[in-house]
Amino acid sequence: MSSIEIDPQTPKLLIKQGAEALVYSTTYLLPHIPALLKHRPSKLYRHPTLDARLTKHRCLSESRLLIRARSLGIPVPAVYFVDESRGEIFMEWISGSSVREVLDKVLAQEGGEVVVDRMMVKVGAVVGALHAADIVHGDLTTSNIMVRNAGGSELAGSGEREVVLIDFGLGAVSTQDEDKAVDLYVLERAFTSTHPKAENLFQDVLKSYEQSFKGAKAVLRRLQEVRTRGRKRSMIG
Amino acid sequence: MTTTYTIPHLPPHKIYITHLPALSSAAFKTFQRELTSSTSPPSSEYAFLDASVILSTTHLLAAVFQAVRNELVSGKRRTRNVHSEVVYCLGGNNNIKEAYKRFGVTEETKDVIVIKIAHGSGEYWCEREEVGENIRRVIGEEGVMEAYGDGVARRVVDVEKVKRYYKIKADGSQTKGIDALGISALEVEVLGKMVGRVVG
Repeated sequence: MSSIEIDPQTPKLLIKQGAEALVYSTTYLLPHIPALLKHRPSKLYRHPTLDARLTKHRCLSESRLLIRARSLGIPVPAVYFVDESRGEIFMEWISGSSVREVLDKVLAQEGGEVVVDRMMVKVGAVVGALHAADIVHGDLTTSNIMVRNAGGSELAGSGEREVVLIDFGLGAVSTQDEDKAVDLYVLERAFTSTHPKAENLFQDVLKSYEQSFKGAKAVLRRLQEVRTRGRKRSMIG
Repeated sequence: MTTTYTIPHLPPHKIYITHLPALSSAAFKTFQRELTSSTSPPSSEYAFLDASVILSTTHLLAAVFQAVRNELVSGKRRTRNVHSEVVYCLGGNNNIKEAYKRFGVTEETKDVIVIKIAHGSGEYWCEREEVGENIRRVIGEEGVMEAYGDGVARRVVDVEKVKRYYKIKADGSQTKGIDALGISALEVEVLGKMVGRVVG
């Protein structure tokens, strides 16, 4: 499909660049609606037909997961608009900071663990809700979980602010305990590798996760197995 | 009165929106004839919407945005022109006829929103004055033209009907009830339904 160039004058600010997508902070429709624009630019090293197909597929699968999750009441950004042929998704702008940033800030202080305790419970519940809906995130790290700014008290209130899951670029629908366990394993690694003090906090996440849905116990049993061998399945047998 | 909008993330364009609180059926027939005639030039292309099913300016502009985006990719537009595409995009599914029945103007419509999209060059481009004159020519001297905005939207919208059309249940879950920045919870849901067709 050929398409016409979009006016490059539109104000947008690059805030993050991944292997696949560029993320901009911008506005949607009217100046008072802040939005996030996720753009997957075409890769020149790929054959154009294949490139268009991959971009379209990834764009649609990500928006599909976001819409599905939101309709089930799981806190994820709302999708405003999808242009799959250009590889663009406009979504809700979440004002807040990532769990990683919050932990970095809080754990630097004495006794900071108590403050984020409530937050850990929420993270566990949200991940549980996601898995209960048979959606796996695929890249569940502390950077991909955000805490909404409720305006007002900064650190003390971080336990009461809403937790939002972002970046479903690697997400998928799966009923398998294995996939869900890998999600938790990735999150555990993210916790322990960046915050030595956070190991105990992750236990709170698991505890809250365990109570969030029926299949959680089976997933946690599977997590034990994943821990001993790592994220990749054994290729023997 | 015609309001002009320009939406970010689109090539140069102008969107003219006018509210006609009491469109006479004779005037509408004239519009309809010009719209459906195969010989009419692009300058007489307009979109006519039933204001009672439009939540807000945001809702309206979202449809326009989607329609123009479809226009820009060859082969993506499903209807006759970018104006008819606006009505189709409001529908949120693949049913063009249904979209027209719900969001287009019918015998019962009291409040009408007229949209003119100026884009590209030549006869696809037009200025605000031309749009005003064009509408005035059809509705006559006594016809009322009003600026459309969120104030008007709140006055004429039938929220229950909008919810029914977009299949939005009354008991929204917790997250769905939360307003996003600059956009209400209901608008967020409606926008979600409008991309539903694309995403499937």
